[in-house]
Amino acid sequence: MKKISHLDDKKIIEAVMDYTALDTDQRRHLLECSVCRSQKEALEGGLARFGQISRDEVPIVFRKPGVFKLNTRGQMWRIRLVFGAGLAFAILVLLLSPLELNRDRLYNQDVVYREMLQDEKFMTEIEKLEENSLPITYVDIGDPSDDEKDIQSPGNAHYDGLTS
Amino acid sequence: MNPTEDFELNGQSAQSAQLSALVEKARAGDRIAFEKLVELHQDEIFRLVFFRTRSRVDSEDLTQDVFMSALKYLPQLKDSDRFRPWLYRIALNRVYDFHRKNKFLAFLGITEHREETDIPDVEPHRNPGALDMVIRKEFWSRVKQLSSRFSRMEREVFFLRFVDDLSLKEIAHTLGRSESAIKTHLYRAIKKFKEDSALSDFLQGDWHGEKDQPS
Repeated sequence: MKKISHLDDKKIIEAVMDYTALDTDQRRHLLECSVCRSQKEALEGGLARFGQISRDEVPIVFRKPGVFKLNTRGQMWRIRLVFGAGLAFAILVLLLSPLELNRDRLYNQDVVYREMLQDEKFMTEIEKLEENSLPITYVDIGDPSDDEKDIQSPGNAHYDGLTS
Repeated sequence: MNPTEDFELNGQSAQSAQLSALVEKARAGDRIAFEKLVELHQDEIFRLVFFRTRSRVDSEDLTQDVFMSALKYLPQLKDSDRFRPWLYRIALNRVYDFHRKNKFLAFLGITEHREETDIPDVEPHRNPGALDMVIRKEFWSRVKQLSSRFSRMEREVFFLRFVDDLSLKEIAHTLGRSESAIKTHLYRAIKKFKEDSALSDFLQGDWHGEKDQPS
């Protein structure tokens, strides 16, 4: 009678770990021998139950990771490009700003000078008005002969209509 | 190879090809492709982080951090087929940083340090009764006992394989080790798991997870 050599513990564990690691005879034995097969299945079952229970302990509902923007190389380059352009623009503005200030200063001087001229003109007009408060038109409408009559002296007045 | 296995393999390769295409698009700057990647992986990353921090709020923040880092370093990913292990690696690094920072803050007395094996601070998605609470507590104390017997690497490999459901190859890429090294660590971890009769008995018991599974 042929002696049956069962798979030892080591081989059973190896069969559980990686079935393909067993040689052909051992695989055949495992298929034919119910004792070895049940040992292997018991161990596999225990490990599977352990894994299942462990996984069941993990909550299903949790805060899912947020949606991210991909920072790939292409996008990084685009960001760098935009940043560089912005920086260049800022530098340009800074460089041009003294010129702009000078221009403002020149502009301001010009305006002040013009205002000064206008003020001067205005002051001249005021002085003229002070000298002769009536406009020239009012001075011209009077009869030139009236200038010789003294209307303030009653003896000299000719009020024909009043002296009856 | 039987037709079913063949079909499954074809399905897997089609999925991984689709994933690679999405990764390529995201690397090229396609925002929608990256959002799709986030959508595909957010649950598993949250699970990974939660299982190692046991705090919902911290896990949410760390998950966000993981995807922010992924977004930042995606152009540096050489092989788009390795996106998943790469993402897991970022997540694990974030978790390590988190524990390191917490330990330091706990040392300074600023905060209380939580162990990786403490009972979670939130309820699972089911509404647990009193019995469930007792069973949960029991489960986590068993996990704590088992974890204490593992080396750091064994624990990481074991959880990545059976809780996070990563393949040996993916674990190797995630942890930056060879596949044979991963097999060695996993072998030791499974052996310790098998020898833990208390946990085996507990797992064979009447756990609510199987009866009340949400459909």
